[in-house]
Parts: sequence; C-alpha cells; structure tokens
Amino acid sequence: MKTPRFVPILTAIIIVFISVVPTFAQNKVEPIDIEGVNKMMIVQDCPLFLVATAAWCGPCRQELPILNKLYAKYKEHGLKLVAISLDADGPAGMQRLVDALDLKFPVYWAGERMASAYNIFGVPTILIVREGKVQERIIGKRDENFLERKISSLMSNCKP
Amino acid sequence: MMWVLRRWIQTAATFLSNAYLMFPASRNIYQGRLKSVCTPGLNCYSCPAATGACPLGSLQNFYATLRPGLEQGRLHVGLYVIGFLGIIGSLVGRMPCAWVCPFGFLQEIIYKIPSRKFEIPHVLIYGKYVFLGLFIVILPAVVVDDFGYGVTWFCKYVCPAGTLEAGIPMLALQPSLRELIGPLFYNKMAVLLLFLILMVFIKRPFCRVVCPLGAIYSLFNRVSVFRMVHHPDKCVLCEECYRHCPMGVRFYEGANQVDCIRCLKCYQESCKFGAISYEVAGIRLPSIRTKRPEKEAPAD
Amino acid sequence: MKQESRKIPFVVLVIFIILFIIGININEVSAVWEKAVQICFNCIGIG
Repeated sequence: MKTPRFVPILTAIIIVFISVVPTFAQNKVEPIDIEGVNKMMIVQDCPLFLVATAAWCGPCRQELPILNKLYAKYKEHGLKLVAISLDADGPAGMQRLVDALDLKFPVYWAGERMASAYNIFGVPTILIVREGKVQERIIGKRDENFLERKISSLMSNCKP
Repeated sequence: MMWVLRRWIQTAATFLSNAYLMFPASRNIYQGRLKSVCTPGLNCYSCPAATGACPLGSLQNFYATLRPGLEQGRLHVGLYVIGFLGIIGSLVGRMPCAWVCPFGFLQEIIYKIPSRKFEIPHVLIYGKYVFLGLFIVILPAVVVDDFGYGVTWFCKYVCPAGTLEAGIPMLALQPSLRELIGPLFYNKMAVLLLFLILMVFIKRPFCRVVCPLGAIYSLFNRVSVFRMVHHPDKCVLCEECYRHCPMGVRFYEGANQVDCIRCLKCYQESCKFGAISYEVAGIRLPSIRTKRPEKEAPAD
Repeated sequence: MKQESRKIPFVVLVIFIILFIIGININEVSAVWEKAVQICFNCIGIG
C-alpha cells in the first residue's frame, strides 16, 4: 500500500510547529557563532547596539533592566538592540536573567569566542555598529541618562 | 648568596606573573589559555600584563556564583583552586609569600625607605583569617542579589593589589573608563595609599594583617613537607632572627608560626648559633647550609 | 640525632591533589578562565 504524500509533509509541519511554539512563549537565548554575529552587524540606516554581557557579571545585571526600558521606549523609532552572552558554560545562566527580567530584546549566547573576535576585555561593553563596523565602544556599566542620551542622539539621524 | 637569589626569584616571578607586555599597544588584557592557571602569589588578573589568574579572585567568584550554579545543577566550590593552593601549601607552606608573591616583594622594597620603624600589635596578625572567612567565602556566598549572585567583596572593597595593578593602569589605558570613577574607586585608592604608607614604617603590613592568600598558606606551615626547625638548646635568645625577619616573626618562640614565610633569612644571615635549620619530610638538611656568618664567637 | 620521616605532609598532599583533580574534572578550570579574561570593573574600583 502506498502512503499518501501528505503524511510526511504533515508530520514535518507538526514537528516544526512543536519545536517553534515554545520560542514564542519565551525570549529564548539561542547560541550564535561569530559568523552569525558578523552577519547581524550588517545593518542599514539605524545603528545596532550590540551588548556584550554575562550572567555572572554584577554591573551587567544592573544594566540589562535599563536597556530593557530604553528598548521599550525606542523600539518604535527603529532601535536595534541585541545582547550577546559571553558566559563560558552555555546559555542557561543568561536564560534565567532573560526570564526574570523579562527582557524583550533578542539575546544570544556566543561564549568567550565573542571576546577574542571583537576584542572585548570587560563586560558589559556596548558595541555601536554601523554599516558592519564597530563605530564606538561603551565600556563598563553606565547609568540610564548616559545610555538614553547616547541612544537618542544616534537615533535622531536614522530613518526606521 | 641566598639573599641575592631570593631577590632574583622575586623579580623573575613578578615578571612571569606579568609577562604580557603587549598591553600598551593592545590597550587590552591578556586573554589566552594560560589565564585558567592560578598564580601562586597575589597578582590581580585584571592587570593588563597578568598572565595567570588570581587565586583569591577565582575563589571569590566561585562563592559569588554558588547559588545560581546550584540552581543550574552544578556545584562549583573552587576545588581546582583549593587543590592548587593546598598542593603548594602541603609542600612548602607559606614559602610563596617570600619567594614569588609580587605584592610581598613590593612591600619589602618599600620598607627599605629609611624611616622610623614600628611594630604592630601581635593580635592583628589574626585579621587575615577574618578577611579570608568573611571577604573571600562568607560574604560573597551569603549576600546575594535577586538572582542569587554575590559580590567579590575582597576585590571590590579591599584589595590594594587590584587597585595598583589593574585599576590605575586600566584608567590610563582606557580614558573612557575615567567616567566611571566614583566612591568605590576613592575607597580603593584610600586603602591602597594607606597600605603604601604603612609599608614604609611596618614590615609587610598587608601580608601580616590582611592577606587571605597568606592566611591559606599559613595553615600548612606546621604540616608541610618543607619545615623550619628550631634548636632551643643552641638558641641564646639574642633576637637577631627577629630583627632580620621581613615578617616580624620571633622565631625563637616557635618554628613554623603562621607568619613564617620561609625566606630563610634568619637561617642564612641572622643566627650565629646554629639554632635554626630546616627539614624536608622529617629529614634534616643542615649540610645544604651555604654560608654562616663568622663575625664573632658566641658571647657567654 | 633521631630522625623520623614524617608521613602527614604526604597524606595532606594527596588529599589536595585529589581535590585539584576533582576540580578539573567538574570543569572548574573554564569557570576560572572565564572570569580571568574579562576585567571585573567594579572589582578594581571602577563602576
């Protein structure tokens, strides 16, 4: 007996659906390699704020809620904000923070290779990326005023 | 001569612990694989030139991340670091303080500045165990934020080596970091300045009163393979050993006291009566002795 | 002079070698490395 053609297709759809649904439920910390980060850096018009962070780093944990707040405020204006976790032991530690802080911006896990690839020697470091290049670095934790001024000044001349 | 040998070894150890000399160009710290190995002495791993990890910084980080680690199903209590320090300790006790610790070396150099010298109240030498217990273990593990993470208390509020080797150099290398200077930095600078001043007047004040690393090694002084030996029958209580001792130890009150760092200065340079020697696993080695002062005959 | 070799130092040594090896096997080395290659700004008085 010949199996109808739709059976494997339907099975594939179901599998894909099941594996995708949980990612809708939470902001999942996905692993990313350096090539992925490089690709993400090719942005047009508006700058990308790439935040190198780690779960074990105290100042990072203080800065993430500030960034979350600013992301909510400037997302509409075209703010691109992505965090990359440098934790050595996988995305689990950062996932706890993402869930607890209800972070809305995308968070990836790249591990320590991110540090050597982008010359990051201290977390948190914010890389401000334009046209695929790191234009500026904000090293260390800054307060909300500083970050908001930085973001709004850079957003003013970009069109979402 | 032993004294010259020790200075050479101290100098070499200071440079080996800080051998990444690319930092003025890279404006960065060394990030290679060697950094997973601890240095035996106190040497800040945020120092741009540092080649190894600070054992105290590493230990504090283990205790500061203890709870989140447990929640993720891993129990890291720093056995790697404790084992490393214990291996050194059970072999030679507190010897690294005298021979390879860069911060100990600095204190000996600064003490050479001519001035009136002072002794500290003996009870203060137990301060280092308080710093070890509280600032390295208990506070980082117990005082935690909403996510269960603690803070590296010793590094953050006390360690003058960190301010000297990392705080000041990083501010020089990365001008943008100067915007972050606040009360924390002033506190750390005050601690550093206080110790720099004390170092002129007091023998190794940091090692004797504060250093948690010395406190760990000191616990091994009595049981280590290498040990000092006192011969009371030959001792005339002349206190020459005490006068030469860089740690202000009165050797005649007992060999292998917690502050004996096995620099061998008393054995080599002070005692004219043969009352000081050492042993390796119970085997006394008086034959290794290279030079005995031959200035004068023992007075009766 | 009576000289007795001491065994306790070696017992202590073996205990710490075992702890050291356990530490390596439960991947504590990478936990040390991870913190050593990133500056902890508030540890050195900045931030």
